[in-house]
Amino acid sequence: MKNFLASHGSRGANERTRTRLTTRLRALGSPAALALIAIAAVMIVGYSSVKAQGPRSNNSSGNIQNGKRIFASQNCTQCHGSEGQGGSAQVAGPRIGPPRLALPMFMSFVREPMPPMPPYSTKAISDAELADVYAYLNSLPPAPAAEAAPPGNAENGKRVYIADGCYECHDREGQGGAGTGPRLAPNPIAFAAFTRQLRSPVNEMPPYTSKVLPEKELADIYAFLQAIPKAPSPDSIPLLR
Amino acid sequence: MKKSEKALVDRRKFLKGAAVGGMATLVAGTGTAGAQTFIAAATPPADAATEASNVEVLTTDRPGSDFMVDVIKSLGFEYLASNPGSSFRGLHESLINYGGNKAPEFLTCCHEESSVALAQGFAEVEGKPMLVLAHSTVGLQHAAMGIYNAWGGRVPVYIILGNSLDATQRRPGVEWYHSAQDAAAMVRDYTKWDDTPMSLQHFAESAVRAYKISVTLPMSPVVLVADGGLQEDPIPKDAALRIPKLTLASPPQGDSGSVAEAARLLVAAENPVIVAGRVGRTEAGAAHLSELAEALQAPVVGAGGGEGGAVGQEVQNADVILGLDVPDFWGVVNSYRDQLQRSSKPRTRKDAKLITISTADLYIKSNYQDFQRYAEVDIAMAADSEATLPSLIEAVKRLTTDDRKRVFQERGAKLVDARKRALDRARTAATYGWNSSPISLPRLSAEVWEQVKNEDWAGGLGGYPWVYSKHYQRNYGGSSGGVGYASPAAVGSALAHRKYGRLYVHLQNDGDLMYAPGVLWTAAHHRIPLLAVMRNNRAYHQEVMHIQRMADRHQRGIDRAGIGTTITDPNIDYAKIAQGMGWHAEGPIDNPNDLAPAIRRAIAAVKRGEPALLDTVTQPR
Repeated sequence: MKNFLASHGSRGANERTRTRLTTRLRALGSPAALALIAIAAVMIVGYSSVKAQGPRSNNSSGNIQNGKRIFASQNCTQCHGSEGQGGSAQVAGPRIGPPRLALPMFMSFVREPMPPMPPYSTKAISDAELADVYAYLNSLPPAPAAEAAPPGNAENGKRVYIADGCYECHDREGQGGAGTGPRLAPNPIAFAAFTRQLRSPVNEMPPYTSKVLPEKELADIYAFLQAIPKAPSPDSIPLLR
Repeated sequence: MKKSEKALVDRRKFLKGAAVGGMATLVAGTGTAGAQTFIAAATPPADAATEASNVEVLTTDRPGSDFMVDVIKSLGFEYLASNPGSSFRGLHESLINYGGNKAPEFLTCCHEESSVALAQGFAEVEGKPMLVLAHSTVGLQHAAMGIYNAWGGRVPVYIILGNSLDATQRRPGVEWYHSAQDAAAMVRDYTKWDDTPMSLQHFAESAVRAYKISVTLPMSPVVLVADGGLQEDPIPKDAALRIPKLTLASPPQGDSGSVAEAARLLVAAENPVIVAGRVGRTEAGAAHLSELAEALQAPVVGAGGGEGGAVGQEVQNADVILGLDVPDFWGVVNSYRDQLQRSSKPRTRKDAKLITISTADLYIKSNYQDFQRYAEVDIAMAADSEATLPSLIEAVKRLTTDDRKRVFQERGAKLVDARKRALDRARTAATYGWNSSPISLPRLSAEVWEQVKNEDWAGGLGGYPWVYSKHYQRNYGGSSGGVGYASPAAVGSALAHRKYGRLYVHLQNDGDLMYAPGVLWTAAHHRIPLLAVMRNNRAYHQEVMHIQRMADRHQRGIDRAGIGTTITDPNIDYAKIAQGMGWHAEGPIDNPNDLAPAIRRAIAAVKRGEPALLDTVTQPR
């Protein structure tokens, strides 16, 4: 509670509050702070939700070196790691190198991301520069085998998913709730990012430590999410046409 | 025409027929049948004059409560919601016999909280208050939660409270428990005004004043205490009673300098965003909002601030944000994180200019913290958005050059694309869990939408994008978050929509209904048609999540959050409950493929004038 009051500054003198606020606003304006705001888990979901909409395209003719420079100068690295491998536990942005999105979807997501990733307007990064970033990410090596998910028991995963209340926010088939939790399946995010988010979430999600969710159960939940079948196309459902 | 203006015109019509000398309404001149009776009442009763002096007088044809009815009728109430109580027995009898149970007509409620919430739901549609009668101490205590919800929603509710002030006149026993020295005190922190009139003329003045105060922005509940003696004692023969003229206060507009500056910022902005709070409830308000958005080609987003509130990326990207009567503007422009150490950050750009137009700056109380976090803004107009928008629109149009118009058009084209993409995303999102059981909310919503979209509907279900094209369709439902509000408020809203022949659709949560399910009977008894689609998720899920959060934080027992938070074993059969109260009801429905025929049958019942409930077993959120 002490920290809560201090961070809000509501009990302090006006001058102190102003100073803190100014600092906070300045911090917000800096690219580093913008990157800090980018919360991985939600973005991951946006990433995978758009991913399902189109096949990956590698047809990028961007400038890889320039893309690398922009990736660093715009502080994409802060959340997504120095080589797009995903952020640390504190700023756990997902692995985005190489990207799984087709270029148009990638650009669309950067312009209109799922909060809390900040949007990047054409003023901040032009379309051409973004294409360079894409080319750079595309040039990166795929995830190492160590990031692959360990084998898990999907049936037990389903049981734990319900018993431990994952379904409260994400619904029973991982489809996501209305304003509570993002979609998790089908096609869940990479296991490493999934683990990072569970252990040390950067958004409103409560942390699931190994004390309450052992590694084995975590792997089982992941196996359950992986086993969820692909959703039908909206065009195949008369009510959604 | 705005609702308030219509009410004013209606009042004017009434006053035209009633006024004497154009200044005031004399009761004797109201021109109604009731008033004619009252004229006789104002003269000495012939039979009483001839009665022997040693015979106790046990009757009167002219109780004070008849005059109270004249006053109540002058205020134009259509309905009154009430659970009966002896502290207002005199007024109750006068309303049904002297007043003929018309304007206002009694709505029998089974709980005072239901009475108030029903009145709130009605006022949210009609823009004018419903009368509520409550029974002194105990009735007001039951009503208190409803009043606090109406206060939080800034909705007018007009409460008359029975009470017995004169201790020597109280019946022994229970009437003492049901009397208070200052009866309205317990709700004074969340009502705008109250009074305890000491005479009938005092009652008339305070009744008219209370009405005016309740509908003056920001609208709020008011309480008038009707003393038992004042109700039941005969009107003194020499009483020269009159009903004061009611003139509603015009809403405050933003000052010209602030309007001009706001227009300058909005026109110059590259990414302006309009955050719509309590604006757009009236036809005029909705039209102004739409005209401003069109003029700027700016997106309009909902005021989804607060804990867990979702605010679109538009706010993050905006360089000018205009908040129109937003209850929690701080929550719109800041993100909040509820982890072990709570923290918050602005979600806006550092150069974003923030403008608010809100009547919240005009009136605030200290104790209950419904006023939310203090928002730091660049321009704060203490004014009504609806009243201010015409001048703001005019200023925006005046400042819009051809160059800016071209920029706006480009922005508008992007907005159209963004909306299409958002719809596509919603369609895709609905496919996940489409066939799941329990039923997903998007599936439920899409199924209902399919069958009401060609009707003249209002209300609606979340979870899937419905097309809101008329101002009366949207449910604002502002409250203080007290559970149990939704079901009675829906009945009140459905009643308001009934006279227009609209199909009212309501998403009913199971936990909410269980607070005071007696309102189901009220709806059936008064033939109030509505389609209630129950989201039966068999728990207080928000609370499950809070307990889960604590268990995670304390690193123990994360599989025990259902203790004390779930509504299972036995599963409640809501269809049976509703059927028992006179509703058409079906359920539990847990197979999504059973939805369509059940919805068709329910709509047919609603069209026959019946309330209908579908108990659908759904995903948690």
